[in-house]
Amino acid sequence: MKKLVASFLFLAAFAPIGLVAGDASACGMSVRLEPIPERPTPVQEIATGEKSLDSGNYLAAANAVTRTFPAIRNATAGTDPLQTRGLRVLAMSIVRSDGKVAANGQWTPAANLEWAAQTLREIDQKRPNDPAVQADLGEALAKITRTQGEAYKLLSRLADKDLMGSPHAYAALAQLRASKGDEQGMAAAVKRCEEMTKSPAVCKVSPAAKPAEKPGSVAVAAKVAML
Amino acid sequence: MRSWVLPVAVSVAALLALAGCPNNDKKPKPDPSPSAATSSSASSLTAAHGGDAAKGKALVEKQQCNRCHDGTGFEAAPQGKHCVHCHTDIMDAKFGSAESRVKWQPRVKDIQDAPSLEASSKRLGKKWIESYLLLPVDQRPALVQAMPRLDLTPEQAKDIAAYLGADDKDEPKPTGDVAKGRQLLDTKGCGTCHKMTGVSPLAASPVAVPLEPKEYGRAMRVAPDLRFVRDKMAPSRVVAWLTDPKAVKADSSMPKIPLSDAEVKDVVAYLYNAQIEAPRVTPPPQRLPVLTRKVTFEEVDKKVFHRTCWHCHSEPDYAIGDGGPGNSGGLGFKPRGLNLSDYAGIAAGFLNDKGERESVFAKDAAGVPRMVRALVARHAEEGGAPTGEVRGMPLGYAPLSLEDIQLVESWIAQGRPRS
Repeated sequence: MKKLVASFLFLAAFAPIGLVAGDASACGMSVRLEPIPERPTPVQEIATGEKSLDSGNYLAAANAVTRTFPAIRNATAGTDPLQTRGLRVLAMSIVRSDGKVAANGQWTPAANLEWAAQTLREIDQKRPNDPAVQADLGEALAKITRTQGEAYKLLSRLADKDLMGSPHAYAALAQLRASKGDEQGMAAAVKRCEEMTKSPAVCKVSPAAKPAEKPGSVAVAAKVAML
Repeated sequence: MRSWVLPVAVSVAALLALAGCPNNDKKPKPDPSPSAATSSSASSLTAAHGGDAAKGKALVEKQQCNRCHDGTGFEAAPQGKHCVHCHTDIMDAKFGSAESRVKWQPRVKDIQDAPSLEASSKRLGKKWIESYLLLPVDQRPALVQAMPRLDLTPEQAKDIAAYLGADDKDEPKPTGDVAKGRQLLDTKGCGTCHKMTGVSPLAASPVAVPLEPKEYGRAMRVAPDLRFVRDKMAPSRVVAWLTDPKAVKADSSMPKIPLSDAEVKDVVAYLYNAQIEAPRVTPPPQRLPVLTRKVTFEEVDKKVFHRTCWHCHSEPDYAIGDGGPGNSGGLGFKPRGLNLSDYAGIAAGFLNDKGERESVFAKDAAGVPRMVRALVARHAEEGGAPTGEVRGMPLGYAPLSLEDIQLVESWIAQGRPRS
């Protein structure tokens, strides 16, 4: 009987340990921690988005941003550096996909382009005199008929001062020059675009091409109205 | 520690890989100071200097001398802004992951030191400080980095000298035994740490006193070229220094060498009276011809921009930190907004003195792009030549090799192809 009681007490005392050890992969007194799959940090996510944007994968770029900042559409540029980078990635993904990325019932491509242009204007205001931001803005404005004149001036000025490092912005300028019948100017912009892009298809310009957005199709221009 | 140190460390590593090993074979440099070429006597120094020490103190703060130097009269810069402390922490495994340090340590090991300005007003003459600030000439042959040419007017340099310097004394030329002085330099181990360019090389005899290894390493790195002693210090101050360095400057790496009073005088006599060869003027090097093979951005970025330039010229929203003094300002330089961390940033140029954007590829009258001019100017600075408005880059570090400059110039000439 004593042996039975002792056995019972022994089991009662050590059973929980065995249970825990089994569940937690314990080894003696050590507990081996199971590797937990690491989620990318916000910085990594946005950097991934930027890479996706550069490589022309606009949907992936936009998704990387919205995963990190689900309420990015409500964000104000300049309040947080990483969020501002996210805003730029989303805006440029929209611009380079002609408004198609992140479009849904509410966010038509035209509304998307308006949002993107407005967002880039905000970034430009927060970081004035930055040609990289201005090139992005010019590219966005070139997609909207009523702002193409502004885009033309902005991009021409940057190109004249040799301050533009975006092949997409040069492509936009080439497109605008083509629409003005400036074949020579278009060819020059295409040449610069081709020199600085990894994807020459980006630089293809159709002189007859029209901007993606039709005049008057923008139902809601103000960013705030689209929240 | 502020988080921006991380990229700083990474790119310092890169920066200093460029700089390479301590250059112990440097040729004598032209010296803008009045006495270098002719072994002038201390009597050429006069007490009249002028300069406003209060303004000088404010300038020392504005120029952020405390990011590199101790002993400025100000607290050391915060850890994340302090170049030397950050590098030391990397070497001492106090900063960064083990994995990162494997990459960083070989690159920062040679940039853990900057001379302390402690007790500068007991040692260094105001006139010398003034001229040195306006046209820094490498004083420390074994130290990879050098004093950068700051953005100072002559009046500002005078004010800083008034704050940091000692009154220049009108002292007679030292009268010890010159030959004996030289013999002492050769036998007391001075040549183990110091060079004295312009004379026959000092013998690297064992140092006359034992030194703790770490301190010994630092002493070797920061030991100044003795040719400049006569320009920097009045003879009586050198006597005091040699007699007991730490009594003058507590944080000095210079050991107290056992010398009698007479021997000290002999050494001082040699330092002031030895015939020193005029420094060899090194003309700016000829640029190599532009390459005919294709040079892509990837190649230039890897070998130059990301390896060297990015450390001080990055974009605050993208790099952790403030973007570096070459972007958001610092070390007395105004913000130039120059971002050399990516293609679009490089193309975006810099803010000129009028606050207008200017391309780094804009060519001068001779057709040389601005970026290339800056890289070549660093060679000229190393040769002791003034370079006008274009400051040599990388600031305060060894110039890029001519091959690397050729790479940059070729890439620009080829229309800056991305790939």
